[in-house]
Amino acid sequence: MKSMWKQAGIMGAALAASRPALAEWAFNLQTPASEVAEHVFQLHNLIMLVCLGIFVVVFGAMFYSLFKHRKSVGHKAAHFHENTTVEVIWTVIPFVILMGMAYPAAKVVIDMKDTKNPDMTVKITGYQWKWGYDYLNDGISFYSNLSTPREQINGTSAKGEHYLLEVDEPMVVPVGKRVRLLITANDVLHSWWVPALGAKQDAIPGFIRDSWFKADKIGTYRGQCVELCGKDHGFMPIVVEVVSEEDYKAWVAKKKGTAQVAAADDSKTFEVAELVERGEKVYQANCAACHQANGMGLPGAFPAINGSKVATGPIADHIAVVMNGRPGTAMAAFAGQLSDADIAAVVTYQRNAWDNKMGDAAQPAEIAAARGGAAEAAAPAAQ
Amino acid sequence: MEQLDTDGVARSLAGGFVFHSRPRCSLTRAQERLVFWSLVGVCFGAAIGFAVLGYWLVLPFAGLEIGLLAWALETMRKRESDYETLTIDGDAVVLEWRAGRRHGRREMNRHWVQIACDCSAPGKNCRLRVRSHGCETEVGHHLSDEARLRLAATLRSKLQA
Amino acid sequence: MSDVAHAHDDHGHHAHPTGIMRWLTTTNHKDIGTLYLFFALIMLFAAGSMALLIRAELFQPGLQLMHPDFFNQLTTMHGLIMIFGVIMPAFSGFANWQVPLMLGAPDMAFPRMNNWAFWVLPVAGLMLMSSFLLPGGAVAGGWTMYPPLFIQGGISYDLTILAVHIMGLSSIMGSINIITTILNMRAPGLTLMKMPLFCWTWLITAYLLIATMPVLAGAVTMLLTDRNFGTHFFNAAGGGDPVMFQHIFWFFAHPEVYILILPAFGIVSQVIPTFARKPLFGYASMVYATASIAILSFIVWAHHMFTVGMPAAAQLFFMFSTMLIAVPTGVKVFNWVATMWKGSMTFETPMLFAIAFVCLFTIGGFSGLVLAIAPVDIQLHDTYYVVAHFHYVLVSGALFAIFAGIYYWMPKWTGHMYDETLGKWHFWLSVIGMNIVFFPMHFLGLAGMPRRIPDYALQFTEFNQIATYGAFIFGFSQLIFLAVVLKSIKGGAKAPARVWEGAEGLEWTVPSPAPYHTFETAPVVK
Repeated sequence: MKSMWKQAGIMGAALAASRPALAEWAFNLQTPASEVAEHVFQLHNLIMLVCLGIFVVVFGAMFYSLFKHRKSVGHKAAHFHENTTVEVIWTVIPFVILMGMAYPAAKVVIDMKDTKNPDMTVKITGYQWKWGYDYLNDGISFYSNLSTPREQINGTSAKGEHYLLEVDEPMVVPVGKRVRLLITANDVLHSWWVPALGAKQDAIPGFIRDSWFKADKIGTYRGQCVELCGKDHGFMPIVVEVVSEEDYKAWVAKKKGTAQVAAADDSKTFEVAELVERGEKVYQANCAACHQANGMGLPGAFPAINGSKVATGPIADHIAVVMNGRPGTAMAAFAGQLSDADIAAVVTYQRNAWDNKMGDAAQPAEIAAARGGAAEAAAPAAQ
Repeated sequence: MEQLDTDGVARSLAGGFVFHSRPRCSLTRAQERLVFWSLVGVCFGAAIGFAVLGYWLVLPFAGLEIGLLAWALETMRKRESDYETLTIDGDAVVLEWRAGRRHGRREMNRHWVQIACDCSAPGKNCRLRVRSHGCETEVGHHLSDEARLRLAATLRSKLQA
Repeated sequence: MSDVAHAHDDHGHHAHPTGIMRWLTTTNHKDIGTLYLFFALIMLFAAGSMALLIRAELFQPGLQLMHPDFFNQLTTMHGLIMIFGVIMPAFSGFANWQVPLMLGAPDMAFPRMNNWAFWVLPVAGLMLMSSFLLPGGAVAGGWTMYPPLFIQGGISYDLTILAVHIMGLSSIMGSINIITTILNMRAPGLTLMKMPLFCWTWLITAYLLIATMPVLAGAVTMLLTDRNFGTHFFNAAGGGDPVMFQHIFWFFAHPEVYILILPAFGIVSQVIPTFARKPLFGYASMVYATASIAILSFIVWAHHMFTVGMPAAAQLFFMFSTMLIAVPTGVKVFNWVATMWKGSMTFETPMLFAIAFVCLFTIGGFSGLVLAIAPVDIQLHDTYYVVAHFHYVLVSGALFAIFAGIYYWMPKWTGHMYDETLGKWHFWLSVIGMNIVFFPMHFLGLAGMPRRIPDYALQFTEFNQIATYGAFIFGFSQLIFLAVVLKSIKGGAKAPARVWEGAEGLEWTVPSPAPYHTFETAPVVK
């Protein structure tokens, strides 16, 4: 068993080494960047070798037979149709081979499930269609959206190197630390996967499941959502930047600074033009996927905002829809995802863009009030 | 002795002729019990398991389906004692039959008996009928079409003899 | 005995149904078999066209032809229709034609129920296809129908649930008919262990269908009530559990996977001995292996859900039980090879498809073994590797066995030999095309391309382009198949009763075409 492991490792290394020459033609799993991914890589190579061996033996026999035992070369059919010894042998041998595979596989399973003693914990939430990260130890929270421009997707501009695998805010972790992941979802099932780190876990609304990884090398690792989650399932990538301990500390400090600026925005009062300008950005990042950049939606699937009753009706109702969503549909509740200033901005934008010339504006304070109102409304119900 | 397909046995007696046929029943009681109760076990086992976890809507479907299966097996059992016997002895042609709870016997005179075989209905099996005095009785229910045709030919030759 | 007398029915001529009514009212097993097979053929082209649209969109990165939502509709409908509208009806067609002939039985046990079982299918098929025209389009939540995504959809989602119910009803009626026919209608002396293996595999398939269909019906009904009647079976906010749907669904769907392949094993086990001119090796072990696969299928379902996060003990249990399936499956492959060994082989089209089946199905089996290993599965779950795996099992497995069976028995059904040259063209183009589509998908999955995405990162471009070329070769070569079938129905060399030199069994003792169609034009015997 031990020597097979070694052989598999050598084979794997050879494959890995041949990769640069093959450029994009990858024939095996991505180069592992964590211990778990390394184990999976070796396990896969081992099983592939065993399968290849069996394949060659069995189909070697079959093709020999196809050439030698054919009527056109005058072969006469034999008449045997059973042989208990042979049948027992070819039942037992596969069984033994399987036992040989089961043992190393079981070790990796147990290793993968062991999420004890983490150095840090990050809560990851899947949304339609972006990822949210909460660093429980450092108190940082942010959303990570696809940053590939729509023009590249529609083919009106050239595609960049990391087309569809790039985000505005990557997840940043220090190298060599055990990172425990608490994974959940807000709306439908998603699945968080970074192949090189060997971590994949379905994100299930209402439940938190855990996983872990320990990145061995500094670098940028890319993955994608791997559970069908609706229209933009193919457009919610994951980028993990593994950095040195110092760089990580610097990143944490910077993140905390921007959080303070954002908090300050929530207590300001803006001009309509300022809100519209800010709202357009928020709209492109959060709304345009369904309601489209022109606000026309997709007939039958996603309603238009341009000229809709909500966007041209009372502003309080409009704010309520954006904050609480529409249960049972793809319309998410954005109260928990966007800041007061962003919600105010996007509502204002929707009421003033396209043909919706409402001319009114929502201010962050109104959003804060709506949040407070919701809390008060919930409080008596709780009693 | 002539074999008619494998469902009917036609036998020439001394001077006479007997055709006897029964439906297939290759399923033994023990096999039937094994199939039925193991399916009840698997279906209700799963359904009850899910129901205990709160997902009870599998249960009614399991019930409906086992009901249909029970009906099918029961219907087959009822067919078990069906038979048809047609005897030609001298000038007497006697037809005896049983189908489920109904059974009957008809005596005819050989010279007045006609055999009608109609295979012209597409999508339907051939019908073989024994006709006498304006009354028709269908025979050969348990046979395949080809066996029914052969039976028609045999009967016609026996009736003329 | 339809009571006594249709008194004074002297003329004996009813107005017989013709045209469409003839097919609507038929209770003849051969007619119904033909209907099933044509339904499957039409659906094959419908769902195949969807696959070609999918491959066309994936020819290069970026969105060229369609909106992502329409892409999801195509993948979902392609899966649903191929499984419930092509593979299952095609196998039912074979069962209807061949089981009574092989058992020497006059017809199926319940001819009228047989008629219903078929005729509800086109209704369900029409409902599914027409949902493309509804507001919001067809279902786009994947053929697995996972909530909560499935709860979000529009009216077509309810329609799909209804269609699945109807198809389930059809399967149940069909299976009860087949199981009772095989058990009760065997010719005297034809004991269970002397039955052709095709009957055995269908007996076990029908058993699995009856055992699991209520679970599917229950699962989709709970989706329906969650969607429309405010229940919370799968809604975490209401105390439900979305993962339980996956458990319930796969408790049905893993046996379903074997329902899609066991009859294929049966067909191949008839074809190979015929062309090797040698009896099937290890008949008894084939029967036991089939039964073991069926039994194991009830305890492996959670290997479809290794990534939902289950305790290590559960992962190990499902990993070991899944690996165990390799043993009986291996026995089958070894038996087929041993049947060929020291035979006197010829390579007509059915044999070519059967050999391709053994070889390529085994590749699907090996990738299945790779996916059985939980840690590797976690890495490859929901990637193109899985897509490659199940297409090797279902295209070069189930579909190739169906082709083998059609070529094998078509002379018996139509009375005419098929065009061997066209058949060989169909085989070679299919087998080459099929490998060009699906083999590169292994590499795509290993490199990290998720399934069900309409657009992909640049490093996946080359293999996707190769796959698309293959898909068009494979897709258009099925037109040859259509030509062969139509040609054989219209005419061709007369087929003898024993069509193939090495063929054994009751079905080869009746004339070709199997008699019913000759009676159709025969004059009334008076």
